[in-house]
Amino acid sequence: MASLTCPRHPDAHLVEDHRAGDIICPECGVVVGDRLVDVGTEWRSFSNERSGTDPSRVGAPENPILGTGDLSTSIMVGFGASESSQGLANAQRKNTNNTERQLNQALGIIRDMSERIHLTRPIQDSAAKVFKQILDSKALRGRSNEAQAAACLYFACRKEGVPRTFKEICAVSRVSKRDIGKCFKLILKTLETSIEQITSADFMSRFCGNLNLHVSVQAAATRIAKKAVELDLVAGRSPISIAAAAIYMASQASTEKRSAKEIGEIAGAAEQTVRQTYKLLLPRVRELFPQEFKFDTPIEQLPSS
Amino acid sequence: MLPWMMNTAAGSNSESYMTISINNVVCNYSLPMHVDLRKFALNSWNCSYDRTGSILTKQKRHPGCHVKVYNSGKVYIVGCKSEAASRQAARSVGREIQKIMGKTDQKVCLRKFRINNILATCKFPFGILIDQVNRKYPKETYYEPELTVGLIWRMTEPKASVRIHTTGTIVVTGATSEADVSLAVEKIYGYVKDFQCDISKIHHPAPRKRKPVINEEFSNIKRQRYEFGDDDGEDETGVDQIFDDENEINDF
Repeated sequence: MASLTCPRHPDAHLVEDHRAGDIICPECGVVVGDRLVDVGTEWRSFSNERSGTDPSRVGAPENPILGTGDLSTSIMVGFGASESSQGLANAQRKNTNNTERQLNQALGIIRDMSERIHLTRPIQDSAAKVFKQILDSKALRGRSNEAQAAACLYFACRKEGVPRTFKEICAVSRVSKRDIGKCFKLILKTLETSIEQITSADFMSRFCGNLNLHVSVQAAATRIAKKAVELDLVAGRSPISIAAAAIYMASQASTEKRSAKEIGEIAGAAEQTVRQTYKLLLPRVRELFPQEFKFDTPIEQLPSS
Repeated sequence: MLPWMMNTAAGSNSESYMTISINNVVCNYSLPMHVDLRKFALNSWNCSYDRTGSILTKQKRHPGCHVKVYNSGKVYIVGCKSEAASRQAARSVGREIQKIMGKTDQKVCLRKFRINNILATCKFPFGILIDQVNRKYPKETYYEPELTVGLIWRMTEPKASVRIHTTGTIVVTGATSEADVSLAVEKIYGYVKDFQCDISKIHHPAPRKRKPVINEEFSNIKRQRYEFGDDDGEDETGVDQIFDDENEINDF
């Protein structure tokens, strides 16, 4: 199909007028093409309107995760509907494929969980894709849907480079940490991928943000954690505990002091663990802090536990 | 205990023994006869027969282990400290069953004697940086600091699963023979010696709780009681009754 050009100005870039449905040449004003089909939405429906009918004739956009080319209709029954429509919905539910139903359910669970911890759309889609993969491979059969969905979400977060701790995922899901861990292990085995280990730096911005700490404190804590790992002071400690202890040290030295209990709650580490790891950092405290750090409490007066 | 000589780190010439201690050997076999569990329970000692489960469990003192007998003739033995002890326990249970079932005149063999699992621990004299080991060997290892304390290395040759901790403790599970265990430990040593670190940095023993002071002589006797293979006759005295309650020690 030859592209439209103005007969008098073949090089002119044509402008589209949506209101009239015309394509106009900006140089001379000639209408080059008309009766353009508007491919935008026909009707817009708002959630606060309670009109009886929804005049929109198209449904939701195509979801690539749920399978392309699936143009079937699903029956939705509202609360208190008539018996016949409920019968219709039941009949359809009986006929649906188990995997389809599981996938839909899991997608709902993943969206639910992600909304609560404000995860972005790409992570949700990645988690849904992973879920579809493990569903096809049937490796996690027998595990509850919620556990699988939570493990997929954890895996997606890790893969995208923004890991969430198991405890954070536990908080928005009703599965135990143990079950999520087991499912996660199975996912790794099924997909045969290996992912990056978690580091303390991944969690710094989130933890410090939740504690309302200033950026300088966050930067100091990041550096403390990094230096501590380099100097090998905290070998054998989980990166979460190291991060928590670094934040404790940085916050105690600055104007915004946080107690070990608060930090432990945000990070998901026990208060005693934070204190113990902090004690490991204390001997070399001078080397850990960045050079330009402004000490509100000087190093000598930092708490000893 | 398999003594295993090797040089310590930092190139020093002093040799230190790294002992691999085998903690548990699990084996099973089957006897080619039907076992009447009720008769066995009535005629042998230290056993319990649960009719609902139809399993007879027996606790052997020497060598110390737990035995499960099924009426099909299958026997499972758990808790021995070495392959040889396990074999000995198996034969002694087999002999006991043979006597009770009255088949003393026939030859009864242990069919398909198989060692299923050996659990062994070993402590390397250095600390190990397991996160670096995980980075170097991502395929064979699994390390999730949030989930497990140690790194898990799944070996195919010999087939075993090894847990490696930062303190240098190695736990081998799933091996099928003592030779496999030592082979596994040697292989792990080969991989892991590049990631050594100073153990004093890692090992922070928690402060011990103060226990009440007891008379040294009595505590020694109590400890001796649990050492198998030494003097079997001594455990029938009434000594244990006195020391169940440490607060009630009278001046004996």
